[in-house]
Amino acid sequence: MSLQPTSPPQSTLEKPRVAPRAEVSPDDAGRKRARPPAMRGQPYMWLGLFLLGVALFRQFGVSGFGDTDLVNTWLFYCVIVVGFYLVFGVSGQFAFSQAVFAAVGAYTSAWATRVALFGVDSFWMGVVVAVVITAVVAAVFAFLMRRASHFYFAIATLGLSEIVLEVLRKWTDFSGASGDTTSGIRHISVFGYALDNPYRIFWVWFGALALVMLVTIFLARSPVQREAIAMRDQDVVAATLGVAILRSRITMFVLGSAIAGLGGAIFAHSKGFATPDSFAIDLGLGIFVMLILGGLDSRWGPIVGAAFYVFVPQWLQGGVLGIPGVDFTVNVFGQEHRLGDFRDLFFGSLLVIVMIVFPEGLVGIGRRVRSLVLGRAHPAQRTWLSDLFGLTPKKHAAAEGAGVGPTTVTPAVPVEAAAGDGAAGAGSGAPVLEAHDIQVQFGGVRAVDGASLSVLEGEILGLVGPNGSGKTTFLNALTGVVPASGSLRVRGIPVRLGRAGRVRALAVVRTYQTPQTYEHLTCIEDVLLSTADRSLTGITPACLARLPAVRRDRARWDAAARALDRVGLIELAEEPAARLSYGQRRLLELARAINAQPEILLLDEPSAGLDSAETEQLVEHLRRLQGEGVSMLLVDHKLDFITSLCDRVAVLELGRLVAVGPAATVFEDQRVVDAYLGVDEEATTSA
Amino acid sequence: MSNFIAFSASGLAVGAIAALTAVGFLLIYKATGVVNFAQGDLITLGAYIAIWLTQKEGAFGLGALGLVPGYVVTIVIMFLIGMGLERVAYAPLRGRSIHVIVITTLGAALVLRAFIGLWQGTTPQFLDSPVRGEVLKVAGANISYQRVLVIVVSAVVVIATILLFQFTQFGRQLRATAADRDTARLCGVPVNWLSMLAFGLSAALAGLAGILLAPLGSVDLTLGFNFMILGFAAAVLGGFGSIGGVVVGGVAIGLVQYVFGGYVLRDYNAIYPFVLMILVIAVRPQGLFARGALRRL
Repeated sequence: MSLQPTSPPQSTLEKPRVAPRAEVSPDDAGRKRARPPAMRGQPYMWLGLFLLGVALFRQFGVSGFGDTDLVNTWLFYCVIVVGFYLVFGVSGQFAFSQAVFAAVGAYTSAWATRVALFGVDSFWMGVVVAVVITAVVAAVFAFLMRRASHFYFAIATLGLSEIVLEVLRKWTDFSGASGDTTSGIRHISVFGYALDNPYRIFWVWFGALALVMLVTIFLARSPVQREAIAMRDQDVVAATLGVAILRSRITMFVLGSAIAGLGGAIFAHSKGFATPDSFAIDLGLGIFVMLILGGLDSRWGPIVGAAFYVFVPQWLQGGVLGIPGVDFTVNVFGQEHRLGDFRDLFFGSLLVIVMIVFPEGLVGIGRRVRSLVLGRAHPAQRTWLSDLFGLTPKKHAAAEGAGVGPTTVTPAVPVEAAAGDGAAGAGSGAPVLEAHDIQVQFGGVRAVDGASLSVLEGEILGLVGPNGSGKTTFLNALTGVVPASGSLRVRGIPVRLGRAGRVRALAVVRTYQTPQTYEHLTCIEDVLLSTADRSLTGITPACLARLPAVRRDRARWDAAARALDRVGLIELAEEPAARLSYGQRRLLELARAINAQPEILLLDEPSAGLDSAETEQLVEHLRRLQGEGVSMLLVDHKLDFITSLCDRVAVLELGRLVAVGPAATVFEDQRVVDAYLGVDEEATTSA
Repeated sequence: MSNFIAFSASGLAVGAIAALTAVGFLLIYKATGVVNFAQGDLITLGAYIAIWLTQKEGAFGLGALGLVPGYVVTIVIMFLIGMGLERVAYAPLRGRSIHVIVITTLGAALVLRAFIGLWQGTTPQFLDSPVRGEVLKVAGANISYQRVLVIVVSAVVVIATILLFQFTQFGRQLRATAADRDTARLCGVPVNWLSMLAFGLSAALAGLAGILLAPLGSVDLTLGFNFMILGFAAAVLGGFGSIGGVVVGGVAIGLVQYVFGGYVLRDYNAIYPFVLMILVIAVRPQGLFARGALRRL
């Protein structure tokens, strides 16, 4: 009864959103077509306007070779930092290797044109070869590092940088260097028209940046980006939803690195010479600074960051692009320094300050200003980095969670309990999931100790047991989230344990004890992650087969929207999942499971933290799924919830299965009573 | 044979400094869970401070110190700098994710290097050594005394660090802080003071590494950063946990670079430690000597 005060406010908070959706007609989803947010807005138009602006600026705003050269440097940085945005910003891989992949591209292209590979010595051939070789090196490296943690990956990229630079310094047959410098690199020519001065080279950079930016838009408007974000934020969850996380991680790394290779190749040809040192760790750190400064959750971040990185020191040095700079000198340690000499000091400090104060970078500040100016209530800007840093206030989630969390008193479930018992005969089909002798060890503890269990076709099998009896671990073992031994067959097909995502391929889908939704994706994107149709989701179709890929994705949105509609969340489809209440996140997870078109559903305490109305709803959803032929394994604590739903019940205690059977029989079993209530001392002694 | 001995001596010397570097950041890692990317530039800074104190007119025109007193003062200064670094770059961020702290240490590294560049310029400099030019002859091989000194001093310091960790109240408190900062605080461990001490000691070790390393070659701005990566490699081989593992890792790195590299494709010997590291991560991501998995950073 002590619960009474907490539940009314909570239900008034949530009900208007959740409850009235029960009677929604199926066409509703069709009428209001939910879209992933990347599909909103006019990115192509903005890119076009930006490029037009750059071109006009170069035409009228820039005078002199010096300034043009600076603009070219800016574009060079833009290209490689956009690549890094894909590696670090989108897919969260801590890599210092971007600069060194630019070096690989530069030297490969120089070599290929020098030796006239394939009998051609054109710049184009060189660039293509450079991009391919860079991609191959990156792919091999990423594959070797596939099991490395974030931090080991970072260290390994530092090691790779040392290796590559040393090889370039020493292997003169390849680099063609005399001393440190490789000179005489072929200048760029297009159809016999030599692009040999900064004015003309500008157009090459212009084209390269346009291409690279176009790729980022393509990726954002395809499954690639959301899957990379899912991989970045919670890779195990993504894997159990069916996202190919290894593919996502490696392809994004390779793509970003290949873009660096492209930038490096053009750089070498435009300068006509190259030294390994120009790609050393200084540039590597600079790339980091540019991305973080600009803002790592936007494709415009690299461009803004690079502009800042290139133009501001120049301005401090005494003017840039016709803007007079602050030109005075400072005496430090007995030497006169111009302000530009403090560049590294400035950027190092700025890196620290940005980290601490505004991790969303300059682009984020721009957004804030824009929303201030427009007087529009702007959604709190949060990047995955600011979350990592614990900067984002989590008061919403915390407050709602607190209201919902401690629902230890089980509300009565007035659902047709009798019907539930009557349906017990339903689960008499063939076993669809057979787990045999599953064992999970954590150090010396056997969390699951030889449990064997079969889920029959079309049944709802309840799995109960006291806290710590290994229920969740058992689900984790089946879905490959923890290493386990034993054997598992799904519809007779043996599945190897220990790899997340294996059972997903056989239409086995799970939910989590605490809902694992993605804070940086909208609800519809979250649901889209679990899609059963995974054709045309890669980078190649996203870029080269736009039309079919988008058409296919659109079909997926419709399916995801239907799933959202079914659980009553369609109105929130384009809201970030972070703004959902606890109960709504449970429903979102359920929608995600539905969208996966599962044959077997593993549910981990789906009713935990739900009030009675929500639990009722949940029961309806699960019944409907059962009616559609989905078999379920349902872990829960609430016995009346279990008895009303489940055809059979299995009881775990201390990692072992102690009883299986119809609920009524199982709960009268003395061992089950003992497991829950503890062994009655008197009874044992008298026996 | 004489070649082999000379190669081994070089390898051991480099391995010893790599181990010393690795012990330096392991100290911080163990106490705070942070990997300090500024460690390399602290090494550089140590070398430059030693040069500043012992050469020409000395610090602030007070006259050059003798080499050994100069070294000692350097290490003391580095200790203080380490404590200061903890206050500026780590204490304000405590409780934030490891990532932010790591990126902040990167920023600190940039600042340190830029500062050294402004202070000392970018031309390479040289640090004198008490044993300069002296050579030990072993079975026909010439081994410079500096290398012997490096090996002996590193061994002593590393053993002292292990003893400090295992057998003193400080070590126990440090390990307790690493295991669970809040519980340690509740048990009366002065956790703030401890993390300052850890940073101070770590920087002092970096200073020592700089002093030992500098006379083997010239001192420039990238001296420490390159060695830090070697130190990372040593730590990765050792499984990023035990100091003993790191020592073995350091020695393995030195020997691979100079003994293996002395005979096979000698021009490329600088890359062998990193190739070894990458292979180890590929095959055994938890390191060669790791007992448990690295906590996923």
